[in-house]
Amino acid sequence: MNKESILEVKKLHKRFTSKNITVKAVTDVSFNVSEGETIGIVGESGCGKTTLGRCIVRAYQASEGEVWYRTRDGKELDFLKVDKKQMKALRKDIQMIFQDPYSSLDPRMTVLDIIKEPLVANYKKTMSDKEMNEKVISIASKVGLNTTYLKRYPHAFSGGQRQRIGIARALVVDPRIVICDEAVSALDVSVQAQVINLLRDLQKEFHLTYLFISHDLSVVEHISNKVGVMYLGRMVEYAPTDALFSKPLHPYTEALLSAVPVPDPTVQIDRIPLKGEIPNPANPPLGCYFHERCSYCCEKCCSEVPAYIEAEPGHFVACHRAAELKLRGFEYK
Amino acid sequence: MDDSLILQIKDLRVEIPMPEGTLTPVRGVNFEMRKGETVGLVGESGCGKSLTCKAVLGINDKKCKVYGEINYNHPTDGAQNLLAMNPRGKQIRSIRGKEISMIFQEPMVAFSPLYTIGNQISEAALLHITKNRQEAKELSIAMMKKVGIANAEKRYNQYPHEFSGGMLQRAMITMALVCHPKILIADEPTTALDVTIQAQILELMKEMQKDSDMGILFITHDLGVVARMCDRVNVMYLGKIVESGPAATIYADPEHPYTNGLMHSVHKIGSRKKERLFSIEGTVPLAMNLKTACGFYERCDHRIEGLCDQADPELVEVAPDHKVACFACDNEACRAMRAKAEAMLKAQGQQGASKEEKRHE
Amino acid sequence: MARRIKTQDDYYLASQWQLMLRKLKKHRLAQISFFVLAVLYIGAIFGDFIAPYGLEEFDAVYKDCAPTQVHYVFEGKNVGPYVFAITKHIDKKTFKITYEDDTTQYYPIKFFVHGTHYKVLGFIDCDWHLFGLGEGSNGGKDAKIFLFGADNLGRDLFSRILIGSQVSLSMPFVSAIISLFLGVIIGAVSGYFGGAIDMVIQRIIEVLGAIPQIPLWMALSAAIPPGVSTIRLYFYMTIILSFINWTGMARIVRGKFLSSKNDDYVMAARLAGVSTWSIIWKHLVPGFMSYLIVSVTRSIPSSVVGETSMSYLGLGIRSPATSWGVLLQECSSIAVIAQHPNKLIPIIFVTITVMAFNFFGDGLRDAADPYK
Repeated sequence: MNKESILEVKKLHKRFTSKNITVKAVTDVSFNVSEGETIGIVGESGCGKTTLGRCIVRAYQASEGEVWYRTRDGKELDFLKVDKKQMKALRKDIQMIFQDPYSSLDPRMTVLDIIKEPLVANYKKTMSDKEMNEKVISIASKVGLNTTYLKRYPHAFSGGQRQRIGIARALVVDPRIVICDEAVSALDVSVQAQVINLLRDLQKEFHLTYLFISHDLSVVEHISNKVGVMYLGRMVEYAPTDALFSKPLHPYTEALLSAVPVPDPTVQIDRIPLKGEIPNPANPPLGCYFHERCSYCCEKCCSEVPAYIEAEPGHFVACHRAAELKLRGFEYK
Repeated sequence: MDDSLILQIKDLRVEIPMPEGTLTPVRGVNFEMRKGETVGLVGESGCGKSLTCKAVLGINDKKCKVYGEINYNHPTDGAQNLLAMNPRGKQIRSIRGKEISMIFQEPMVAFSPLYTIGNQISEAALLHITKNRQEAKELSIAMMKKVGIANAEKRYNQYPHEFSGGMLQRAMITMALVCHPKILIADEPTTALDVTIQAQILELMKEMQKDSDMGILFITHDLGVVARMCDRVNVMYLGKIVESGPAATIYADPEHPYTNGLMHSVHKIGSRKKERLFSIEGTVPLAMNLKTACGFYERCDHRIEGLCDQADPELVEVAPDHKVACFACDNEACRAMRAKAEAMLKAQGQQGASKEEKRHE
Repeated sequence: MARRIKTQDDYYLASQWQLMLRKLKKHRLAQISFFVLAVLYIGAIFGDFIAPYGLEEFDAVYKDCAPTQVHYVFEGKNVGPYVFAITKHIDKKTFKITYEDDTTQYYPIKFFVHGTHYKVLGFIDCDWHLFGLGEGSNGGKDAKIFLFGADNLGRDLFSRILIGSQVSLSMPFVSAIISLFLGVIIGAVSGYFGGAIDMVIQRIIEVLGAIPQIPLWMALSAAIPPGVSTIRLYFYMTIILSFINWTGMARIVRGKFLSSKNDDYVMAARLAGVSTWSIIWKHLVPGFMSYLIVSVTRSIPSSVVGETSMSYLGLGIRSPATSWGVLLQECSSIAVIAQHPNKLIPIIFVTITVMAFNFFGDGLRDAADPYK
């Protein structure tokens, strides 16, 4: 495992099988995460980014692959292979924030109980009830919740406030890595800004590492240090944010960037048209998954799966023609 | 009504009586649409944009009480007030689907799973254009091809579940356009779609508009989409339009504090700026039992105590075609409005004081 | 303004049950039904006390008699509520039996009288009754107050309906509770674990559901050995009744589990380290408790009808115990019904009970899931 990495995903696969149909939700994904970084994972529907996040926390059982994690004492463990007891102890280190602020909180529990639940599950024997309540109040005020409202039920809160409750619940056990699974997608624009600012502040204060899964490229560009682009279960490109947005190496990334509407009517967009639709994940094309829609497709693309290689230092891409193509990104002034 | 206009909304109010009080999600909306123009209605959840566009077609829930005027410039019959028509009557039904069409956010649920797509598209044609089934089918297939649905003849006989999200949205656009309406109301049509599909659909809508001089009323919360699609933009907050003008002006030089706040809350893709996003404090209040005050008062950085919480600003023209509803903006029209409001409040205050004196006597 | 804020705050602090209760209170029909059920159940609980006579007390003179009329004015004087005794006349020529009121003396209705002994809770001896007859104005002791008339052995129908309601109202209720437990446990196991367990349990449920109810009950109760004690019989009957109903409950629970199991908040709890058992009991079960309670309430009417039917057919409760179904056994012929329509009164009680449970269940269903 890399010395600076806190998390290393190696050749992760996840297949869902039902009635003789196998859907390859995640295929051969590998990447590194350093401590304190924010890694953005973007892609459209069916790309497997949510499944990837859930496999990493072991909410889903991965079919193949390793997720190496460096613990607080420096030990390196494969998260997917630890036994139940170790798992219970490690659960606190990796937490998740969910997309839907309405279904991610149990409507039948008070907010205090919701935030306290992880403490009760992990520290029942070592913390007194009073200590737990104090911890809950301190975390709740850190995320901007009015602590006098903790005895209320979730239906009393707006979407943005509920998302804050979800954040408080994730942070109450002092995790090191937080996976934000479309954490701001369901929020209004002005509330999104509040929550994004909050996430950045909390990252600084608690030295958190974020895995930010989203379909919104603007938000990802704003918040991430590195970005990974996924298409139909594969990681097609992975690079530092500036490099990916200004000099993409994969045709899909190029098309994706050109499709995002810019909030500036004076900007002329020259969109790269993508033919057709996202293929059925149960029946992906042969060779490069993207070749049927790619404007730069060549013969090799139709038969051989491109290797995921480090084309430039820190910039990974899976495309046969990466070295020769001159793709268009955003011009950073 | 000016002949260059196709739609004119005057003082639209929607009220919903509830046991706790009256909910007023739309509190006096005024705007116009010219022929062939794309007008954007931008706002966050709870601002009343969906209810406004539903009022145009008279499809609000029974509980809603709708007031005001919605004038539609009918090509042959002249200006008609849509709100004066019986929501279940023949007159408005002849307008729905034929003169004014609507497309919705979730294409998956907008179609009945029991009938083929072709059947549902032809339904609109059969209602308004022809009684001949074969002719309706031909019209539908022609429109499907125009909209870019490949294998239109085959797709005509398929069911909604056999279509992907993007295809279904195209099918919904076909259904809306098959009768060549004069106005297309698009209620968040691309929010549920992937970004590459969204780009395709937006381009399609622009293309459809080119040949037919059709006006589009585009409702969305996505500032990027608005910039791409709209010629003019109306920004809504808490049931009222707070700023209105050409897209370029609104984006370059937003006057209203809310518009300004919104513009700065969004990270512009392709820019390297990584500083904190501007965030508007607080949340949208509930539109119930509101008193006379500016709806944005509690969250505004530029609020004027004693004025903005006592009076509700009207839309005034600060530049040709650029209107703002704010007391605090730094331009002639707003200052004039502010002076007038302050004077009126002072007079009311004096009236109140003299009434008090009379009582004491 | 202050009042509105108070209501808003109450709403925010209200738990699911409080919100449900609030909604239920607004449902007129449910309130009335609840009141009716309360009256019926209180009548059952205090049945021995309210009834003027015991279960088996009879008077041959009063065989098949019509409901006793209550009068207030005797020979011009208002003496309070009273009844006459009945005398039997047999016409010597036609042998026709006629009953006539003996108007020579009146028997006043007294409240809180001593009467037949009964046991409270099975062991405390008591003989107080809510009302009964005092001595006749001329010292007679023959009168009886049969408010609903008497059966073919001269037993008071009113008393038997009241005491019979103890069985008719409690048995469906207890069996519904048993079904609830069985249904929740089996449904939870089926829904949460899925796979082979789920398949087996579902097939069993389908098989049970395919068997017609009444014949199944008949078969099961025919299997009960004769001469078994009343209490044992009661238990057997309750279990037979719950035997079918648990399947409906289990299906609902399983369905709810399958849909809620993948909800985000369940996943969040798992990621926080909460144990599977805690997830089931703290998160999933409270989620559908409201649906279950509605389901239980609406399954009781079919149990009431079921018990009544079985007892009517002679397959249910047997003497010395009684239930409404047993009381209806005498109504098997048109002749009886035509001559003594008062014997159909137990049907009114069954109908009212079933309707009350149905309306109350409707009210609960409308109030349930206050978050929608």
